[in-house]
Amino acid sequence: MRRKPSYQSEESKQRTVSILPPEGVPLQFVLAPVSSRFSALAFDLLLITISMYLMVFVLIAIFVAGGLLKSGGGYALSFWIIGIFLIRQCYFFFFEMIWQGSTPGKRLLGLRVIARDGRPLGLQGLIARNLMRDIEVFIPLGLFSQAFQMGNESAWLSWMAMGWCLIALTFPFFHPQSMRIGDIVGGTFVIVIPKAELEVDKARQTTLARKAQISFTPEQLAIYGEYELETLAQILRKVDEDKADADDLRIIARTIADKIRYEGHEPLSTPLVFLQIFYAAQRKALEQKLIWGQRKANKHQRS
Amino acid sequence: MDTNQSPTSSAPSAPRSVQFRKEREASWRELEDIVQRVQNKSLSSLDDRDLQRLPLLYREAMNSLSVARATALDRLLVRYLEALCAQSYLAIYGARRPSRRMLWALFVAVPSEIRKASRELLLAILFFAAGIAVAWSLVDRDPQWFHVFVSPQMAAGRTPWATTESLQNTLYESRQKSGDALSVFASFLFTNNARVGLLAFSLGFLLGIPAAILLFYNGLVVGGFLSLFASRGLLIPFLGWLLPHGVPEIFAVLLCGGAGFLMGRALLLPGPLLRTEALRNAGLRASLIVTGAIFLFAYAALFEGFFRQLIVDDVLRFLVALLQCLLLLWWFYLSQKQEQKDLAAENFEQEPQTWSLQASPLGGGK
Repeated sequence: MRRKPSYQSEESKQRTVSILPPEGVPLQFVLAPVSSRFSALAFDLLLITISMYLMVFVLIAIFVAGGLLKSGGGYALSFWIIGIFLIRQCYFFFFEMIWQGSTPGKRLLGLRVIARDGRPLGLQGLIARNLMRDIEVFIPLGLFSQAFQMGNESAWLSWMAMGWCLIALTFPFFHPQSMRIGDIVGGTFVIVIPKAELEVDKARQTTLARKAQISFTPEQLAIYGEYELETLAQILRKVDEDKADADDLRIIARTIADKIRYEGHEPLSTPLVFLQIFYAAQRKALEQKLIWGQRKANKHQRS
Repeated sequence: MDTNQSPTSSAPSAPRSVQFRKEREASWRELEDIVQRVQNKSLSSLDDRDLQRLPLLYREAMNSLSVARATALDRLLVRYLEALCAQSYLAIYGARRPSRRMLWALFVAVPSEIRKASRELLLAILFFAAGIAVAWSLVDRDPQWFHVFVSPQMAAGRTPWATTESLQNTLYESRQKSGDALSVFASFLFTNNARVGLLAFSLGFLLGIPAAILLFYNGLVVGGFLSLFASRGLLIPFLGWLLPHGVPEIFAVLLCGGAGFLMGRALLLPGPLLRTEALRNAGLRASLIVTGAIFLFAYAALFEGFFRQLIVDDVLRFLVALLQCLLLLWWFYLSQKQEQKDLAAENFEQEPQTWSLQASPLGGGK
């Protein structure tokens, strides 16, 4: 029954940012982890490479079909030169502009770009973040080959540029939110697109639980706090996933019954029903107090 | 401690949040469905009814979220509402497709950004001019220096050891090349220059040092050639050869350098802002300038690739160079006029033209 990553640890691992929309309710967004950003980039680079090859074939096909290869070969070459430049510089910008801040790679991994200040993503921010991509991705790739191959006078320039590029390349590893320079300059975040899934509420009583005659006194419900309530909710969720063990449930039910001094056979005979009813009653009691502004974080806190 | 507790709370009935959820769940589901469609397609794919419902449902959900955060102890419910609100927020405020008006605004915004960055531009001119001056004086004294500044590929025979006639011929050779060969030349020039310009900008955030080096280096090359042709008394023809495409091209190089300095300064002297914020402000401004520069590079490459080979008359060349200057000035004039118009409109409406956090794109919410 012990599934190692409980959801609290999952949540603490994620880095979040808070954005205040005009409606005044702060919203949390999960920052995209480096691994998925990298995968998205790799996928996009793959697409770029494929589209470059595709362009060559299409150009050749067009010029061969038109019989232009002899007289107009130069045009094909210049289309190719400009096309490569455009694909390289505009691929990310273009998709992030028309696809609500996602490139194909980002979409595949459920990521998108948003503006850091909570405004709509502007063109300038997109331009800036993608111009910087040049020194983070493309130029380091190109410079390596250039610096070794050419061996000419401008090799020193390549090496020097590569030194600078290294700063940009390693930047995310030093940044606390592992933002790349493009994100800083463009004023953007890359976030995980949130997924909304509403599950069945554990406090909704099953018919079996409703029949059982279990009730608690206010004193019995004043012992545990929100932390224990949430832990119990997790256990009940595991029951739904068939990951809970009957013996474990019995032990938990008994521990609770001992703690709150509940006297009755239910914790031993029908531990699940007992836990469900206790959860609902406990939540009701705590929520009631919450309305009066009294929070009880856990059992150690005295109210 | 039990004073506020109602006596019924001990009965096994449902907590408040269950009722809360029951009352609102239908509208959350409706919002979820609309937002999902926006995510898959776009905001404009919604029909009128959904478009009207979206902001209402969104506000309702935001309301539910703040209530749930304060009163509900069902973590899953709060998480669901957080995700739902975040999705809807992204759908409504996240991104807007650029319209033709935005592109026009971008076009006229470039010169005004350039004017605001005039100090950086001046610095860029300074470095470029220093490069020219250094190369000119050194080559003038000892022609050997020419090789240091100009690589053999770039010189293409135009060295201090070439005869004056051959140098003159390079200025006036109207290569009998076909259009397609010229187009290759032009496109190569464009991509190459644009790449160098982008480098000056994007490396500029490193305190502007790489931008300074690139500007100085480009100045050295130009200075080397200037000195060489001046020593043969070919300065005026050389300028006639250089300026028609050089006006937009060198201006674009200076712009990219200036954009780099803008970023470098933000990092070095962020003022009262955080460095991240200063860099972002500079980056947004610089990106506009660089976009303008890229278009200038493309424009210049067309002239360099085609025009230079086709027109060989000195006077005509200088006229074209003058025309280029006038075109640039016209661009600046256009932007200033637009700026004044915006300012007037702003004063009239008492409302900024730019999108502010208070103004919702769906109306209301102010």
